Amino acid sequence: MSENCSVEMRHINKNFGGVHALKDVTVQFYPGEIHSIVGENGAGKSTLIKILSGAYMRDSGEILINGKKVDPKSTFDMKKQGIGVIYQEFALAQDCTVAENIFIHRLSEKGGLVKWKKLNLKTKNLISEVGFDIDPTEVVGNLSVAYQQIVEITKAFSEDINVLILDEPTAVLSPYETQMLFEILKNLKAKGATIIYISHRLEDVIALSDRITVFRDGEKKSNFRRGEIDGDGLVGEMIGRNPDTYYPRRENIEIKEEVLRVENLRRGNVVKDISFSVHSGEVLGIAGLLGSGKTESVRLVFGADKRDGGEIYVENKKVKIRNPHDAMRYGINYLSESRKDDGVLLDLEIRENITLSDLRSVSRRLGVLDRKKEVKAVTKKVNDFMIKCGSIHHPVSSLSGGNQQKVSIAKTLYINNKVVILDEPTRGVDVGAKVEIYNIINEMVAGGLAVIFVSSEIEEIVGMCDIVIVIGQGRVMGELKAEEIEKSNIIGLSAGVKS
Amino acid sequence: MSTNTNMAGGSRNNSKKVISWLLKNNTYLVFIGMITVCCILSSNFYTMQNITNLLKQNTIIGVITMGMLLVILTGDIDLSVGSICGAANVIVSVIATRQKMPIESAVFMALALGVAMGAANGFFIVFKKLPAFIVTLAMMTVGRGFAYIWSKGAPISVTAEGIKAISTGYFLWLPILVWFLIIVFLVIFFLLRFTSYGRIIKAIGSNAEAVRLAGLRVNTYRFSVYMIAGFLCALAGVLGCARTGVGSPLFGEGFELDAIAMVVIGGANLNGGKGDAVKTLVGIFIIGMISNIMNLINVSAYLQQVIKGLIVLAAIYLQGSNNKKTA
Repeated sequence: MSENCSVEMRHINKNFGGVHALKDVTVQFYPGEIHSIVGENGAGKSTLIKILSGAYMRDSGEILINGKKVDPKSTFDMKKQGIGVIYQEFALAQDCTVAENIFIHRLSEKGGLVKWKKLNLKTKNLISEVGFDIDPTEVVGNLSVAYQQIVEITKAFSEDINVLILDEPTAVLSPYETQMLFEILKNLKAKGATIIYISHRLEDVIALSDRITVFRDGEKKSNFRRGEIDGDGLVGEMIGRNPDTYYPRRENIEIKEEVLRVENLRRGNVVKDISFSVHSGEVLGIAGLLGSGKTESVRLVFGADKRDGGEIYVENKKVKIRNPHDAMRYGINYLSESRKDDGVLLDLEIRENITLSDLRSVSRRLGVLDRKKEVKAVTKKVNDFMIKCGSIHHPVSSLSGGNQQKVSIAKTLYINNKVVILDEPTRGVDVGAKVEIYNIINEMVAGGLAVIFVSSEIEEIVGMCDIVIVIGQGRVMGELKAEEIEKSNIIGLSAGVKS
Repeated sequence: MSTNTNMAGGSRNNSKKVISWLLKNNTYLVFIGMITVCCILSSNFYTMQNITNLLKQNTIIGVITMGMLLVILTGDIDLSVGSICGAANVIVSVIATRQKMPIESAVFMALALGVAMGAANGFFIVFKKLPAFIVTLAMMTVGRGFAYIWSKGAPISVTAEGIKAISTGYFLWLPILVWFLIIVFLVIFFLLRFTSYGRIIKAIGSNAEAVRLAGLRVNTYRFSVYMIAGFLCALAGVLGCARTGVGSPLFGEGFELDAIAMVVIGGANLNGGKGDAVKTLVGIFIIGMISNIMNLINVSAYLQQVIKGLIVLAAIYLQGSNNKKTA
């Protein structure tokens, strides 16, 4: 079983703080095969790949390349071993030509002078080996996303990579471009390369792969060869724990009038046609894969981005929302998806963060801050939200991820809102804090708040929401109510598999 | 950790704390160091006469620097401060002498000019989203050009009464001129430490996008900062005219670099979000002391430039470890 494999990972363990991301994982990859890894978010796929590429260090276990043990300290080490990764965000210099990008490490031979004609010819040949025809003097930024991906792949191959890892390569591709990619991969496979493919698009995975490995909760659950499993079966394998009492229940909450309705929201190529509504006392879940457009859609509701089309109604009255300031005036608030980017101000104190949206509440006349009032208000919030900190005067950067997230939530819920959009509210939060956050949400809902809960963690959606809409490629793929809300339905709608 | 280490290192811990505080707030360390060096180098340094001179020499650049502090706190930059100062310096003298208007009107118009130039900066940078470096660089050239045009290339003498009083009068043992710096400092200090405006300015420099998503009108704040800077530069220009009795198109040349150096030595981060008025004031005088002591011990003006630059470099190097996170 272990002979002939190009890459073998044995008993790999990886811990991040309190999270056991990979538990004793053993997996083999063979040359001339496309081997896909599937699993939900947090299952461990990305972590495994990052360890294999040298980006992360494993805690224990062995990595063998062609039977020989290796101990990489960096991605450079692994590149020397012939392992390359193509991530979703390409590593290309947008203003340079194709040839410059591919040969960026070795533009000149001797003496520092570049022989352009030779270089361009070499590049053209390489690309045709991959099966395509791209002008080597074309500026990469002018190429479509799909062609840029081809340049990335060519680059990897020109550097003697024979194990190519692709992480969600089709998230940004059209169906036609996806087919193009598959042709290339089959081509490379025929040349003996080992292809490791990670994706949520199960239909694609089944069509493409010679082998499929399913990960769940940091463990390798099962392994299948081509033809041994179908879409529904895979979904079944990926579904793990019972969607149980891990999620606190909401009892007897009256769902009242409609608070927010959006119709035909549109923005560029990412949000094509989104409509939904939410009522007071209700939690509307929005599910969808990475790149589906769910975050972009809700940002339009909040005015964080300018929409190209569509209407927004608050309490049945049409409203004009051009920026977050407008949205908040109408009682709409938004918890940012990425706290580090725009959710919290890391250098500022916890106290300064929480009151940011409504400094008037802690000020006297002329904008002079009332420190005592602020300390009192913030201390109350810190207690309500169970934020564990040394003092409210410490910078947010000093807190753990989970507590930083709680600060972000406290900041959003500091003012009274009618409807709050929570985008990935428990991202990067440990299990204990997650439950606390769910309780906070339930309390708010009991008080009449309408919540829009955007998440890529399906169990969360199932456990917390009254109604769920699934977004895919910028459109609403389907709506689920009450008993219909369960994992396989959501996965099915997201992946385009009919269940 | 065992209790043993605590007991043994009791007093050591305390001095460790002080040392680490000093290193983190190394502006004060440098300041103390500078004073020590200056006192050693010249016995004339610590005289009433010299201290007063030191204060007067740095009032004008100090007022500009306080405005620059606000701009840098929001994460922006303003290279036109010297030119706005020069333009105001010229316009106040031109209006007072050639137009023969009362000095009060001349001052008012000079201040209005400063606000207008600041607003122009703000308009292009904040609303048209052009890079601050380039816009203020352009404004720097334009402003200087206007100064030459209005003054017809030559300095203008101003003899109005009110002006003279500022440069020679005293109030509570300090020249009236210096009081302007004190008041500006107190206002900025209060603004930053105790008002929501100050809080928001720092927040914008720390993460403008987060502030926007918190529902605040980031553009309005950034624009207002450029106007305030423009006003303070114009004020500095007027004070310059008061101090020298002359309006000159050359006035303020090079001030922008000094202002930036002073703000940075005062611990501010050029990316924004970090900095405070007290340390900036200290920074103003650290740089001010360099020229002052060099003059006292007769160092050539050219060598002064070199040494000033080296000291700024050294001070920034000391801050390097503190700023690693935000760099």
